Amino acid sequence: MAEKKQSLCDETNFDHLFKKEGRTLASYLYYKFGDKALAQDMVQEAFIKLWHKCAEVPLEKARGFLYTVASNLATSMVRHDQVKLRYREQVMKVNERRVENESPEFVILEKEFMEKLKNAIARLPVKQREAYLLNRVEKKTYKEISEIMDVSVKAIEKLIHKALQKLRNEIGDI
Amino acid sequence: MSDNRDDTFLARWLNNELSEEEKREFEASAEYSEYQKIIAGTKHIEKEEFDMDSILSNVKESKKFTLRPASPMKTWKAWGYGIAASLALLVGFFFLYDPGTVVKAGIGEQQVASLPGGSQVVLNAGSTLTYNASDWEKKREVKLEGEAYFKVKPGSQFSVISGGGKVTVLGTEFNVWDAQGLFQVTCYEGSVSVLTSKSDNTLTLGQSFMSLRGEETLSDVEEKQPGWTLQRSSFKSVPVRYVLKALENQFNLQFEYNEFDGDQRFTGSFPHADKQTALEIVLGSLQINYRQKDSRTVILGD
Repeated sequence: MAEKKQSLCDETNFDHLFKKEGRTLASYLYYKFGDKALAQDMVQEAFIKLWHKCAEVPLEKARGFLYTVASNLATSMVRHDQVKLRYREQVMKVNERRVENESPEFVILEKEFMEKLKNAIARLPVKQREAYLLNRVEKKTYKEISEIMDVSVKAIEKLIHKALQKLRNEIGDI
Repeated sequence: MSDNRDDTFLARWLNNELSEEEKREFEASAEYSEYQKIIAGTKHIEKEEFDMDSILSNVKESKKFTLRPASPMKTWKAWGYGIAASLALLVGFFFLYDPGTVVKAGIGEQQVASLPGGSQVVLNAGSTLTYNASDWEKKREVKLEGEAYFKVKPGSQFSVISGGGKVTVLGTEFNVWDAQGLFQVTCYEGSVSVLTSKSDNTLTLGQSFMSLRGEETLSDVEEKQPGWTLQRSSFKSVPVRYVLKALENQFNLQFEYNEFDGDQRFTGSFPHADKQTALEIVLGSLQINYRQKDSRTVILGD
């Protein structure tokens, strides 16, 4: 038993990993495809594969495994235009509550602006959108995002920089 | 943009990594307020909520036991994304898996079984219990669909796994009820630990844990053993749809919902001896209109 302590076949370890990684993986896939049900299915699929292979995948490789499985599933779907369309239809919920501690001149975010912003985010190139939303909405650090997307921190900074530039150009005069 | 702004400038700005000079210059620029507004607007985008509890229980289900109709595969097929090959592999996996010993209680029956360690189980009507006797020493687990009352031999240890969570025995007598979206564990003696994807609770004598579509509550019970083992099923603040499911299992009935969602909570009990009385108690007390379509079918609502 002692040697198996760190095994993913141990449900405690598996559940811990699920709690730690499941939600982020779901968000990542959601931002990629804009389709919540699909994202949930893919998370399920990835964790099922991991659960079945729990004896073969060491704990420290588990996260990489999950993202690889999900990305592989993803790749087979990227060609479907349909997925992107669903994103636009599936409007992100905008919280119109005022956020405290915001400088007053920016507090009033009129609906029209939020609509524009939301649409502009939806139209960002996939990787820019993933990086931007993981950082801004999911509060992941550049380092964490770089691990999720399997690129350098510098590459993430570039993506976020580009995303912001693009959003500004898309939205135009504010 | 001026020349000294490189291709990570805005990312560094967000992270508060600009030098004082860079910052001053940026804040004085025309585009600064636009970027600020974009960032402020993005703050208003809500995090998406995912049903992580169901995902985890589906994942668990997939390994330990046979396929159920509500398995993830169905959803995939509906998507029609042509990943049939990898699914075929997975399905193969299920069939190779040794399903173990299966104990079933049919409609209106209760079934008593002994587990390898000498512990006893009473299965309520319409429930199934699965375990692997040959593997028992290595994997002390039973899988439950439905409801069962466990009387654990002192010193014996095992886990009960169901869709809603995992129950590990620490002491002696407890009841587990797992129905789609509902998971309830009541401890009648000793203590049991209940693990769901959300929480880890230890119940002691007279405590009951309920998770209803992921919403978890703890309450106290006065009974010394589950009512259903004494020919009377009792419920405390349970959505009536689950009570109806219990009625179906008890009396070989089928309810048809007619503009009726089953969300009203029911507290009370019905006797196993008489179908009409049971129906009248549950449906009558909640003032739900019903009529008998045939000997098996009851239509709810107007």
